[in-house]
Amino acid sequence: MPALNFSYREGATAVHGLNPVVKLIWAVSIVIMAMIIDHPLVLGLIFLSTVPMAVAAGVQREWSVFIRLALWMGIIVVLINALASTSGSHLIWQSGINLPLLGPLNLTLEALVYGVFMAVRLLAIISAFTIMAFILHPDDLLMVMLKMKLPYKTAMLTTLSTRFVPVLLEDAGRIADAQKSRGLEMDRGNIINRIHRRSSILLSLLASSLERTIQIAEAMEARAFGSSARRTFYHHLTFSRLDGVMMAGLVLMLAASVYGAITGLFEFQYYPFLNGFIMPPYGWVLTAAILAVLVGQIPAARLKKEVDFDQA
Amino acid sequence: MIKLNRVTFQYNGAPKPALDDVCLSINPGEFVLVTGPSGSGKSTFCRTLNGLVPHFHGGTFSGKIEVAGMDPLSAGTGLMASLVGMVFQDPENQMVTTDVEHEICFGMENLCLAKDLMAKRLEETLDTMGISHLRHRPLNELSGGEKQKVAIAAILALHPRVLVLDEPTSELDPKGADDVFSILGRLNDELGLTIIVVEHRLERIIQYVDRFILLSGGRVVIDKPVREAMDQHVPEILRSGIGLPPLINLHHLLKQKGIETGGPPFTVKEGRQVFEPVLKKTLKPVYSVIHDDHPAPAVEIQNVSFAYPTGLAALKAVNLNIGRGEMVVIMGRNASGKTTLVKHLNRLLTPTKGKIRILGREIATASTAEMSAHVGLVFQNPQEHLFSDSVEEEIAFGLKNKGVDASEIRRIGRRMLEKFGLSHLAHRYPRELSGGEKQRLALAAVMAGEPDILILDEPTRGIEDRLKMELMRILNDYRQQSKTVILITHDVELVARFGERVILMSEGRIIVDGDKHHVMSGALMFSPQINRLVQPYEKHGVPADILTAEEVASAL
Repeated sequence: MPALNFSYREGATAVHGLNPVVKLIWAVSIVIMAMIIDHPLVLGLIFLSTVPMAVAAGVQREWSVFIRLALWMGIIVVLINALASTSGSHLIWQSGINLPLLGPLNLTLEALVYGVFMAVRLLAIISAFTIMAFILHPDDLLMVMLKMKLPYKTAMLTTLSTRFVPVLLEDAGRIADAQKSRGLEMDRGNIINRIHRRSSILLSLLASSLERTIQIAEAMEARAFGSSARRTFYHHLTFSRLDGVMMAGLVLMLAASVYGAITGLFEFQYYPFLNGFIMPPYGWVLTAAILAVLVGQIPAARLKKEVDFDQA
Repeated sequence: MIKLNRVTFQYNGAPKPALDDVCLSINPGEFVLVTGPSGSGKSTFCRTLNGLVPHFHGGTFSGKIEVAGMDPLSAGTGLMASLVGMVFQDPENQMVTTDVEHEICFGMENLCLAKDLMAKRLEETLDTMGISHLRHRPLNELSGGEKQKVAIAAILALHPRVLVLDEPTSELDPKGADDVFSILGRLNDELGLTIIVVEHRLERIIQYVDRFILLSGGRVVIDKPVREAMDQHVPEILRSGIGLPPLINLHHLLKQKGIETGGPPFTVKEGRQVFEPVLKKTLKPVYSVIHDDHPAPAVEIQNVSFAYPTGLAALKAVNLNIGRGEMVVIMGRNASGKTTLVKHLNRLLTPTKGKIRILGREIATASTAEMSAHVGLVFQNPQEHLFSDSVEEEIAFGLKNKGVDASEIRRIGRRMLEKFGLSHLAHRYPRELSGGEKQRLALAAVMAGEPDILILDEPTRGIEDRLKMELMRILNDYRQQSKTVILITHDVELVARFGERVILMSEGRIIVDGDKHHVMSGALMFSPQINRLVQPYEKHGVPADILTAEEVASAL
């Protein structure tokens, strides 16, 4: 299995060169839209709009690992919802079994569609966050958090912990190797035994990361961390006019989608029967505009790269 | 610059003080080497200088200390940071940002320096350390040596008055260690920076040092100018378990034979000047040629290649046969494929191409756990071997997995504890042991299963000479029982003394494979000091494959 490594990937693509605030707003907008938009088709399109972004950033391979995982989770959501929900009106399959508390075990079209919609929502959120984590440099994230007036120590802690995720994963791999080398069968026996063995890695990992933490704290202390209430910054976030335009575009898009959601434009009824596939024409116009802004980040990033190059 | 007056410090809960009545005074511009066996108080001494002891590590402190006119006790670590720069052992655990520029600026930002001043100092330190080509590189792509240079740069940018380094090269390969020490020498020489280095391998650093301090049991045993210490205090140094640089060892061996040479030499060049008359008389090679009986094969590697999922080719068509009862050393730069190769022998890794037979049997379908009955692997960092609640259980871990019955486990356990001198620690928590004890425990835990093939990855890192000798004795005993020992190491001097067959790897290939006298002579990085000394005297009939001081002395 490819490792689940949820951390920054160095890259020289135009997408990597986007302003960190733009990257953050892009991802957060998708998450917010995924939460407030009920229309399955619109949401599906928003998820699909993240695919070219992953490809443009050259992280499709790492990204697909997470998407596959999200798909499995999605399938579970669909199954549970299909079997547990009894609110639909169009019966597809009848088991004839009566479950205590839940009532008859039936499968309805509505429950199935709602399950799929939930799965797509999950996919969109995971996709956006994964891409952001791959392209947003932790140091940049730190600067964005500081721009948002978060206290330095909090922001520093957050980025420091993201930096140590890959280190921890490597530690865990080495501990597992050592245990296997001493005759521990990791992948045999029943699931309880397996979980038990895996948990012994966690304990060792906890002990070694505590030791790491102490050493890092010591090193930071020795470099005057926290010795005075304020501090200066060498690197600053810079904003070009193009960055401003891109941010404005994203914010405008988000505002429009919130407006659309409040006014019921993206409303969709799942139970007791599906209703709302047909949106008014301006609903489709708005959807097209949202997609244009989301995917438009890629050509805009290329343009930014050229402009920056000319100015340098 | 630095004054310690009757300093005693005891960590909370420790049975005895880590520093015991230490009186020292260090002058501005001095290059001071602090050495001593593990647990002698070296690290604690460093940490008193910037107030980490007692402010960060709690305990009882008494005595007076003054550094650059300040008292670290009342000033605290934060204030001392601009005066005392401190570099630690593991580069991985002192990096707090993700690229070189950010890392160098971190401390300056904490000290609230103005932006244009930071810009100036950033350029300055990048140039001083010779790392300006790395400035935009992410830290996780740097080699250990490069990381340690960045750590030093990040400290230098604070313009400290004193630079303190706690075993800065223990995680580096010989080239990385040489780089770091030569830069320290230059900083001391040209900038007049006061430098204090804690180190127990002396040969690479001694040439830069002015003052030699030996600690033992928290007390100062020797505090002398380095020439004097190396000339007149050798017995005390050896008694504390610290090894001498080979050149100085040769000087004393000759002295014992009644051959007077000039003062103890610190560099190979000095050595040639001092030993020239003696070397020209060195004649016959004395070492025995490796016995060439063909032992039964233990490891057969046929045309093995391996690529990581990322596409990185780590092994390229490796062929290697190792017999039972052989001791083989594998050397090579970091990332040359040494560890990758041995991980194939117990199925932690599966070759992309090629075949491996262990004890005559193909292993392609075995699991790592099954392999553990025949192949024991001791990893670089002993920490990763310690996952039990007590020393006793740690040794039992592998035996339990093997299904050995309880009374037998107890019997073997007692024997191993005794053999490795750990009996008094049987009920202790393994992670609380000292570095050397952890190392021995990791080895004991693997050797308890009596594997036919024992592999050790960098077992001597960070342990002092006496423990190395102990380790080599154990390994030698083990192979007398017709067991195979494979040793991965950077420790050139150790191999020169104890190795037989040496394999040199580079970029996933075996470059040379043969007797140590053949492999380790006539090179620079992988030749021991004494070999570099004798190389130019070949024309006078001096055997060019002499590796150790003992060999020179016995060839006279």
